[in-house]
Amino acid sequence: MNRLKTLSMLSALASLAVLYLAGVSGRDVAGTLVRSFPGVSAAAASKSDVRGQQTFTQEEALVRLTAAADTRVRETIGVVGDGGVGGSYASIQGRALALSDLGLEELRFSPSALRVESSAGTYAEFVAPTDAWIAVWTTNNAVAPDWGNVPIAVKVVVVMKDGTGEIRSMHVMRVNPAAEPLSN
Amino acid sequence: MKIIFRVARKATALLVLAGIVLPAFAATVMLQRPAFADCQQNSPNDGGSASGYTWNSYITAYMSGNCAGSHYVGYDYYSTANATVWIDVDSARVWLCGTPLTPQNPAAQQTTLVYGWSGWAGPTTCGWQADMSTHYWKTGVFDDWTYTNI
Repeated sequence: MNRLKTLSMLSALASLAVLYLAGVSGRDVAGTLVRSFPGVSAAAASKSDVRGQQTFTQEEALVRLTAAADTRVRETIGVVGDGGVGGSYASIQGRALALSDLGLEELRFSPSALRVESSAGTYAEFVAPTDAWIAVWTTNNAVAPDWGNVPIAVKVVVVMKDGTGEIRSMHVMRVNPAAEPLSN
Repeated sequence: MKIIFRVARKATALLVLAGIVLPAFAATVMLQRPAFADCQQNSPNDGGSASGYTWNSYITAYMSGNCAGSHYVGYDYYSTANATVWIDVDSARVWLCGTPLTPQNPAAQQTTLVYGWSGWAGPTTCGWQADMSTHYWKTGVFDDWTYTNI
């Protein structure tokens, strides 16, 4: 009989746990979607968006793309003290590289795109047609301290959805142009 | 009287069993992944190439119930590269109703293929958000820090 009581209690607890878990999640109704990339706010983004038509002006798009690129560079290649010898992955004149060291090489709007390719050798393929902005910044004036200060090319690519400002894809790359290519 | 007790005990035992097994069974049913045709969202299939090396990554989010009403959500993350490119997944994050879900990070470091399934979360009527940061690298040749976002 004691065993039965124990089982009953366990059963009740299990059921309560299931109900509780369902209830906890169920309370989070109509919550706010979080834009995942820092500095890119969905609330700040809204403009009426018709697919196939450009909503942002080139200037508006560039401001948003630049903000995202600047943050991403600081988080990755521009991190000081995380790149081995010399303290960074890329440096210019002895200091860590920043987006302002790069020049804007490409800025374009691709309406209803299923694939956008960048001049940096990257791509983003969408499942559904997407109005996308793509921006590319580059420099060939940096060196890689942790690779024996070899000259490198640094490329930054940002792909953003028009109208909403969502950042869909980013690349921050450093490439050693003198490296021997992979032979198949 | 004994018969009544026996019936009562059996009935109680059955109820107890149902109390334990049925929720577990229900959970098992809900944990099955939906077919590809079910409601889903994709990040871009995001890739690059340098010096003959190639790589790409994406996230796919699934929602049960055709994205309508109360539903469960889960996501796949995937990163791959050719040859001897190393892959570090720095973060794979998902938010439900604006609240981060845990675990947030698959903690995949210095591997050549990353593939994972988050498991189901819910039920909920909220939308959700997911993104992934991946570092592809070949020492002395290239590094690419990628970011892809649903």
